Amino acid sequence: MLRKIWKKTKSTISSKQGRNLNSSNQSHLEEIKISPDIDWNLKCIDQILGSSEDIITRPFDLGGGGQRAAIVYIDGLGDDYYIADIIMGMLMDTGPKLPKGYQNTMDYVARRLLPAGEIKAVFSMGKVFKGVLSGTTALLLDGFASALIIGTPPKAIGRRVEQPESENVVRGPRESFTENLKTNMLLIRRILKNPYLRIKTHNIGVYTGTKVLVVYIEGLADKNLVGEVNRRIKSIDIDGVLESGYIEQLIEDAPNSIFPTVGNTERPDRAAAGLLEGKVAIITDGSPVVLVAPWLFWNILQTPEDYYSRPYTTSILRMIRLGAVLITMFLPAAYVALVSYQPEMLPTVLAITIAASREGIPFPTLVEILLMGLVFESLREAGVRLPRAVGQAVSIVGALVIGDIAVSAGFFSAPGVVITALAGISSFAVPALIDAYIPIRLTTVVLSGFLGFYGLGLFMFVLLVHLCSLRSLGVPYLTPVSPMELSAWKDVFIRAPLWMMDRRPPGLSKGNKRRMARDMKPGPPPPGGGEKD
Amino acid sequence: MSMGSSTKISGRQAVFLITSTIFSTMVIFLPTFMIDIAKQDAWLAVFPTAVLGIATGNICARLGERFPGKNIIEYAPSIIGRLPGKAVGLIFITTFILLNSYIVREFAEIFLNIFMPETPMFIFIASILLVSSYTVLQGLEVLARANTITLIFYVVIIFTIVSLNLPNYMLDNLTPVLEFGPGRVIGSTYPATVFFAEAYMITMLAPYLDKQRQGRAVVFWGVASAGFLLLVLMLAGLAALKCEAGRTQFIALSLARRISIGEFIERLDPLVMLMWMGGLLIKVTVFYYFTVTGLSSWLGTKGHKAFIIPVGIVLAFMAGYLWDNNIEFRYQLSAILPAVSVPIQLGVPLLLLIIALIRGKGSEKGN
Repeated sequence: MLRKIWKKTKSTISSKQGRNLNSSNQSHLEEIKISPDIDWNLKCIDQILGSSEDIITRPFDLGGGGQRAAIVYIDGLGDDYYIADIIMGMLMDTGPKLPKGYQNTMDYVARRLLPAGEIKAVFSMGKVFKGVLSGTTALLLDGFASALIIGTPPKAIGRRVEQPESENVVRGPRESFTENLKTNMLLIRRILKNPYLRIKTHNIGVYTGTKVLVVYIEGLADKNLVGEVNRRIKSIDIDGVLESGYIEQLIEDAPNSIFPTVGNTERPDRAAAGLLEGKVAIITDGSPVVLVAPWLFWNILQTPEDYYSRPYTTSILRMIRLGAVLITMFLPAAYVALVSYQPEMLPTVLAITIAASREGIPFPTLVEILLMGLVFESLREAGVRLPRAVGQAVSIVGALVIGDIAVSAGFFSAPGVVITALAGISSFAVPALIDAYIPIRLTTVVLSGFLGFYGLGLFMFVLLVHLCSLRSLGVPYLTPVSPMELSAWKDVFIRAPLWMMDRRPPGLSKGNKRRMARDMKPGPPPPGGGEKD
Repeated sequence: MSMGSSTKISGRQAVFLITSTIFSTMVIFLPTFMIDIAKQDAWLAVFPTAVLGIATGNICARLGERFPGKNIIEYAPSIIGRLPGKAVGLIFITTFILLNSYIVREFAEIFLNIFMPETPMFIFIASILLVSSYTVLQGLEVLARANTITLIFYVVIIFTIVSLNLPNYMLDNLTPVLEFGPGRVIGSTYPATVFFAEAYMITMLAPYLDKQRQGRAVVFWGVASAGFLLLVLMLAGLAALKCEAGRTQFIALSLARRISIGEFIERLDPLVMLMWMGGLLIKVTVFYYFTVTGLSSWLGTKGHKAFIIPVGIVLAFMAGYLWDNNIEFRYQLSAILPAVSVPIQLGVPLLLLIIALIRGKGSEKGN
């Protein structure tokens, strides 16, 4: 009979090499019931797990003798001391007789003997494997057609909580998510001490079985939204999930768009801020990047620090960020259009300066800007991949050779270099849109090389229509600018003082809209009555 | 994405759509036409024409309210019988195509003449229709959202131009008032009617409103804000340029070119150009969309997407070959088009409303 099961398993595994990739592997294992015969069980485990080196099956006798038992765990995933000392120690030290009040040995073991926080009886081999492979310990008892899955403290491996790499702030918490799911969940839980914080678990990936958590606050997040996120994640059927990027790409609304419709962050405070606005966070095991959805265009321009510092400079910075996005997308194209088609639109002095420095340049403006762009992007790419010491050399080569010598040698014009550098540097002001910059810059430069401002204008319109057609989990991408929600403009182009933003952004949270009490504007105490407190 | 009756836009979006549709072509040639006739009193003519536009829209909206969820092509047969109703539908679709070919041609003429005289006309016509058909494909909701942003941009630019021209204004340019008598003012309303009468687009737009009974308010605010923008622009143009304004082709562009502040903020033409492009593309798309959905209702087909390409091709040919040159085009636009299209835009809905009232067709107020 065992052989039969093994054959069936093997055939399912091999059929999975084909096109039809579904979770039949595991569902087949679910069908194998645990037998009362412990030898059969152990053989079965041994065969299906392929007697791998790190699978430990340890048969022993329960204290008092007679009752055969075995524990199964993976070497190194759980704490060795806990397994050997607490679990086995407790089991081996029991007396020979079953005390009163317990139905049988299994019941006794589960209710009395094991001091573990998490304990669960399962009846199929599939569940045993699932438990063991995710780091818990399984206990089998002879004569019982069930097993106990015993929660085991994990061995401390991996990074500690460190500073965020790409979302640094001067003012604000300096913690970032790690690769450990439990740590990440803890980081969020520690900020939101609320009983309505909800977590739904999914196991995605036939081979990796990666845990994916959908986190939201009940009452703030729209029910349909949460349902839709869960539905999309549940429908993912893939061999493995190695990073949250897999989830992002498989659940986003507009997979063909160059704009991100699912956000990501490595900052717990940012994820918590999203949850407070009625968004949903998705934590993937093994990834320090947490997804946040719905994610709208204007979210890209916001940084967590915007809300921690006072509003004035922040508001200006936000407009600078928007300006940087526009510059990096459209400035090279506008330059090409101006120089090659409408030089009369430049102020006279500027036009003469540009014309003078373009004197004797061998390339037309379009080609010059394209080449410069190519050089800039390859320098940037080289700088990212190279070790730090060599990277500096590259930047020196870039700055000196390209910036200075190429101009004085007469290959490129100085304005062309300035424009390209400006566009390139501006792209770092809002790095979240990095996917969109290069294709847009390239297209606009080529279009305005052929059609001038007219081509640029047409492209801008197409881009606008495209942005308007996007939705992130049903919310139009450009909300609150279009569809217009004037009340929410306090947090779009500027960041209004905190006490003015007393409502959550529209379109997300349906019921609970107010996020602070009325009249939170601080002020001096009323004259005469202030000192009594 | 969604289409037909599941497409819904808010009242505000509809107001914005009407404003952009009416204003985006009006801003280009119309001030010149009007100033040609009425000189410094041309701005007075904005009021009667706006009232006419509101009246047209009001009639169309009232008619639409009797048939909630239906456009004029769908309900015309139930008022005056199947065959005449279908004929009315066909007339409407024809006016959409005709007006649209004027718009596309106007669009192409502007960019050909003032910005890129060496580029062949068909490149402009083809690219406009390509972009526009992409937008039609995305649907009315997306169009309405895109329009919100182009209109914000539009209004910001107009007020920038108007306020940066402050040093150039001479109130003397506006006097004497009624120098040539009220007749000229009335006369200058003639070319303006065709633009304001475009408020009749509510006959096609009404079914998509998320609240059915707001048609009249939508049309009122849409036309009124377009009229207000025109008034501001005309007053600014006249005050800054006087009757020279009648000789320039494009008043907004002349205003933008006059700006010179600190010898640095000057020549804002690219902004005007982008503004025109945004508005015109929206307008072309609006009429394109109505043609396509109109055809779909007229033939009773389920989807309208199959009509996008054929209508685009027809439009391209009409825009390219109906007029030989710019002079002929401008003459027809200012002299002939109003006489042909206003009776249809205003007259047909009025007639239908009267007949519907007499024969008691459609639902009465309150249900």
